[in-house]
Amino acid sequence: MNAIETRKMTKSYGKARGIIDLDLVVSQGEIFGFIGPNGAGKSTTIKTLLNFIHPTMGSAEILGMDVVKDTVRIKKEIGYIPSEVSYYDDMTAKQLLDYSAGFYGKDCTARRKQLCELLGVEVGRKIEDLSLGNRKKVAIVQALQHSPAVIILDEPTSGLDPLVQARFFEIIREENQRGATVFFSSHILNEVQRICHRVGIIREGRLVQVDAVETLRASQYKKVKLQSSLPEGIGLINLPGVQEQANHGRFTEFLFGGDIKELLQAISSMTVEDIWIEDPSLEEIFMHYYERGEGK
Amino acid sequence: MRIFSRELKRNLKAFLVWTISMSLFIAMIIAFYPSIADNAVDYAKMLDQLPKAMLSAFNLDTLSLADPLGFYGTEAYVLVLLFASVYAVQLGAGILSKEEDERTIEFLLSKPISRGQIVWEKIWSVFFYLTLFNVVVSGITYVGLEIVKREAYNVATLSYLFLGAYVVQLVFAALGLLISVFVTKAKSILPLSIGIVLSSYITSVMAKMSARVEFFKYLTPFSYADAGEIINTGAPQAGYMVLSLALILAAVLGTFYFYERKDITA
Repeated sequence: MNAIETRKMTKSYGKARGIIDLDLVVSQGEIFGFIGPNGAGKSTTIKTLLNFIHPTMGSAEILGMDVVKDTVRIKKEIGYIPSEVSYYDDMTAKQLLDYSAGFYGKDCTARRKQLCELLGVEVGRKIEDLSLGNRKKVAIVQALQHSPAVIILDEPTSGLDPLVQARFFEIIREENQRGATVFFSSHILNEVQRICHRVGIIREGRLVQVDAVETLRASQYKKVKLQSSLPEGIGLINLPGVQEQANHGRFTEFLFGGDIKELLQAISSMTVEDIWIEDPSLEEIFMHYYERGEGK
Repeated sequence: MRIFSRELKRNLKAFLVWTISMSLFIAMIIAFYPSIADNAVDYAKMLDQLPKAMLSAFNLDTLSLADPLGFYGTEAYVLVLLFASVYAVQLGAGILSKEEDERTIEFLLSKPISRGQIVWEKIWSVFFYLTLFNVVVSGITYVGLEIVKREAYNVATLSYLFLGAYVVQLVFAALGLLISVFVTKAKSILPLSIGIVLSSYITSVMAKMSARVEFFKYLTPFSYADAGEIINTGAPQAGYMVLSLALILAAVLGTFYFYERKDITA
């Protein structure tokens, strides 16, 4: 039995595309990253899995249960953190957590206390008065306090400061070691690489690739930009891994997929005045890597 | 029970505001009764000058202002029913849509509870408050009339008036509930509620004023509890009550049906 399995799952909104023929398998016990640019269909996938919306065609199962027919049973096993947190204004964090816990019919107080301490949640405050990041923390506690078997995260780190993000990833890793399966949707490649075992990439509603994270990392490109001290620029760089080099005057831009040490050595002998090395955006990775893979 | 009690808490303030202001309003109108009853002959003369259709629209052709029931039926009942219906339709329309408007529905739907159960408990909370509202408002009316009455009146008929008003409010609440499956923006709900109630009221007045559009009376809940009819015949028409119950049932079942199937994207 898989934690999550979709079969030709399709959701269309009238004429607009949602997701198309999504075949996705997430095994139990893994942390599965689900990445794609904004509007690719990540949230649509999650909303279908949670039965907020109904699939137009195809089907999906969570822990062997049908997402439409067995949605109540499924939800006993799920913890969900939405990308945008909206809770009842009149409740305090504690009241919300109590309300949430009540639906599961089990005692969550011990785990809640741990989580609140780890994340620094002020339970006595009204949710209305909390900042975006603090609301997100409440959402995390709300989703994890009942120790769910499957954790579904929709862009969970937005609004969290780096320190809390690190805590959050630690917590997710612990949950995973406890046995929980994690489905992690994000448009930030970096954070998915940090924590996930496997990664699925969605683009324009279709799943284009599923890879182990190592594979993705090996194929990771860097975006490099150099500024020469000479007006005529650097000229052609002859190094394995340099792609799509473009020169404009003093500036040279290229994607680099080779050994970073070799690159640094090569650069050190050039007439370089300034340097930028960045992770390419997800879109750029699609453009330069996955599109070719798709075109095979 | 979890959602039911949550809704009780959440709608308590609106309930108190509506109940208290309605009670004060009724007390105020009833306080006018003694002076009107004392001058009933003069009022009757004055009313005779008005066009017949108009008198019939306000039940002044068949009811007497001097009689406590006639006074209540003509001076208070319609207004009370109008306001109470706005409360009812708003309460019904807000109960489901509020979760979507405030985007809390994703939280609720991610919990192990079925949509049917959510709708069920929310409907009960509407029913609870509307019933309590009617008990209090009817109680105040009864006590008020008892205090000011100059002559005896039929208490059974008065309770039929109360019952009629209650049923009409339930119809409006059920309609509001059904509409709110499709219209979820809070800022559309209030104008829509008032619009529905007012147009229903105007339709019922038209049905009474002109024989040609008399059939309109079946289209508007206001005709189902007409003070003139109830006071003159002593009870609401069974046909109307059956029609009301059928409407309520249809709207509630429709709400379950469509809510279960709708895509909820807060």
